[in-house]
Amino acid sequence: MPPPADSAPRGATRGVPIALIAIAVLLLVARIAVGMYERGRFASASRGGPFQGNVQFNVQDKVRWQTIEAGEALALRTGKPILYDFTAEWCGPCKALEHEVFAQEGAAAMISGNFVPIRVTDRQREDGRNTADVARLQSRYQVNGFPTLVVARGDSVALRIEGYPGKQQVMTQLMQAGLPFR
Amino acid sequence: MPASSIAVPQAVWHDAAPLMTPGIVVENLTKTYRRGFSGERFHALNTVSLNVRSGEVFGVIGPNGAGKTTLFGCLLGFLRPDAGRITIDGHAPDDLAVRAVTGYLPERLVLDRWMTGFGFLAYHHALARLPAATRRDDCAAALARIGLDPEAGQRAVRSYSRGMLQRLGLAQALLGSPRFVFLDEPASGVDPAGVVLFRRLLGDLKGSGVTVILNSHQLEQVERVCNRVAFVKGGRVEAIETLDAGSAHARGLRIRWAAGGAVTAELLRTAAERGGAGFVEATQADSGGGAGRFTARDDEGAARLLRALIEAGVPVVEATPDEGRLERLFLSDAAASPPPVSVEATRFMPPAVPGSGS
Amino acid sequence: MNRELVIAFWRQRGSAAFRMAFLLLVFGFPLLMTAAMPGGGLGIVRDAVGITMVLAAGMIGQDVSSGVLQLLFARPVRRSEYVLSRWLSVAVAAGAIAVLQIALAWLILNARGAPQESGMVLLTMLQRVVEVIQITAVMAMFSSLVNGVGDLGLWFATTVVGGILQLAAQAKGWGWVGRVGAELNRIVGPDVGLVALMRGTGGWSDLVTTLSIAALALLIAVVLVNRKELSYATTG
Repeated sequence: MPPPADSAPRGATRGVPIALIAIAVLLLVARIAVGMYERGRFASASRGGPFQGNVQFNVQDKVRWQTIEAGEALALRTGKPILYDFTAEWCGPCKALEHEVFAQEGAAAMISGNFVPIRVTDRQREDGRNTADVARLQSRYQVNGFPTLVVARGDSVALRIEGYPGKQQVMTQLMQAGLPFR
Repeated sequence: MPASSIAVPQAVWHDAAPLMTPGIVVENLTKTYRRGFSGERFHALNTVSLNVRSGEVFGVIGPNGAGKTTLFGCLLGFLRPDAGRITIDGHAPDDLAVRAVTGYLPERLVLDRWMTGFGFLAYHHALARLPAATRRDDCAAALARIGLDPEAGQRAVRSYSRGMLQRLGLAQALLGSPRFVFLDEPASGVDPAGVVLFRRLLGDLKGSGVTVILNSHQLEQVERVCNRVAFVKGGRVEAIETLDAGSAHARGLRIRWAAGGAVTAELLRTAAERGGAGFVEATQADSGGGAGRFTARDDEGAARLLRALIEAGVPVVEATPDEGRLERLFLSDAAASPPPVSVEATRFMPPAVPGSGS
Repeated sequence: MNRELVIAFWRQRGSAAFRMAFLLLVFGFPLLMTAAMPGGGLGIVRDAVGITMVLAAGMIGQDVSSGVLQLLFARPVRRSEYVLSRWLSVAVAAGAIAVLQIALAWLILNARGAPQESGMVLLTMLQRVVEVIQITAVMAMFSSLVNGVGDLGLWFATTVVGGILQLAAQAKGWGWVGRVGAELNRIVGPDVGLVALMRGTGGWSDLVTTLSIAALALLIAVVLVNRKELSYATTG
């Protein structure tokens, strides 16, 4: 019984579906376009510009850092502990911390879910002095070097990490510090 | 389903224009490979040209490494030729419409071990875009045709013997009554019962309008079943032999005589000419007798040749059909081809003696 | 897409004992960890790479080396259909399993007193699915390049080379080298950005990049398979 004519296939076995080519090209163009748009829109203070030192990373920080006032208010409202990231633009390990932890989806999700993240950027070298808020926090938590991570619950300090000991360490300690307090 | 009722579908091509050349046409096919990374190129196929007529059973024989596999690869659209052209019923072998009416049994059949025999056939039935409504019946019939009972069909193929796998492969190749069937060493690893089955199925295919391309080392099988045979060596087609028997065609005879007559080549040649036949060669045996090969135009010619020889005093004791012609292709190199009887450069073969088993 | 091919591949994977054992490991271990450390939230079930790898490895390469493709391509099956069906087959299976994993993690976290916001959970599930799309597409491309399960090797090699390039860029300040390294890492490390999208800190770029890499990888895979010469060494 011959196959019915309408089910008989057409074309060659080797062929690239036009649809696939079109989709791939469109997405590539979209990627370039959106990338340019976002780079312009989200050059945030936490990065201080696209070129820093000799390193160019197209890193997109996944953690939504709060300003100091907004963050502290948010913490009061939600009862979540605050995660302070004391950092500076010229600090290499800070970049590593940012790239390996804050730019990773999973880690960022965890941080955003469990803490109120506040980034405190030291501007001593660039500007000669810091703002009052920054100075206050640095002295309160006795920040001597960068990066320093502090998890604060109200007046008590649940966690303090000086320097960047590596992603695993940071994550583990953050996870422990983030255990809910009920 | 009686095997003789293999139905052959008409090709359903989309272009309304009549087909230019039905069958398989190969023109100056060339395929080269590079040996290793920086080795020299060698020609797996070197300007091969063939013409397989629609409905023909076409054999391909040749020594190992001759390029038969490459030829198959190109005909099936697996390999792209470096030069030359192949058309199957006017279409490229790569065409989906050609694939839809092609069946293929590869030399090394590889199956997913976990599939059942029936499942395997159903899978290929679906891949071949055959209607789902008849799938069950078609596959059951296919299993029966190759002599596998339904229980075996429900077992995973990892439990199959080599012979069963090969049979299953043939069943898969014949699904949906394809117009073109490519068989690469179909009887390898098959038990004698299977060989008989294969022979019968091939015989059924022959003359039913299906074009069969058969690659086999089993020359008797090839001689028995094929209409024509191509001898491929070193990437070239060295010879194409027509194996059709028929009284209109001439045949080869091997004649043996005892000692006692003064038999010389001259005598044999003259006797042959008188009998209207061709003399190929003769050898003397130590015992005094000898054997010679002749070509006769037909049955009548054969009879006249024998009479002429006997009248010439040759003590003929035995006349048998000349077999092993295909083997001789392998042995001789640029074979000193004996002068053919007729002008066309084809050589001849006696029909299979009836009753000797087909 | 060829339904027959998709289903057949699921059954093929399902009948591979070692693979299924690995899958169980990759599926269950993070769940155990989540139960042990609920403070980590969903972050412990890090990404879908493990699950996808187990299902994807050798998705095309093994067919090439085993010789099954010859029988397949003798049928009226487009080579592109074959590639896309393989991709779909793995992507759907891996995506479903990854989503299941997140769902189970959610239940576990609830039971262990660390409930997660349901919006976040759903977002994570969606994210896994998109990640899987990229990973599978890239593996399809790698699998079209090398036989057997060499695609795993290529994935690993890409990770290593990407890392080396980035380290070199960091040390020597070679900008473009860093970009190449970052791109390589991006190809094997999907970063979908849905969380950022929801939070308004960008993320469109990541999402589009993911889909773009997937589409390109599939295109390359189709082209590679189209060009493949199915010759096999035989005795004749």
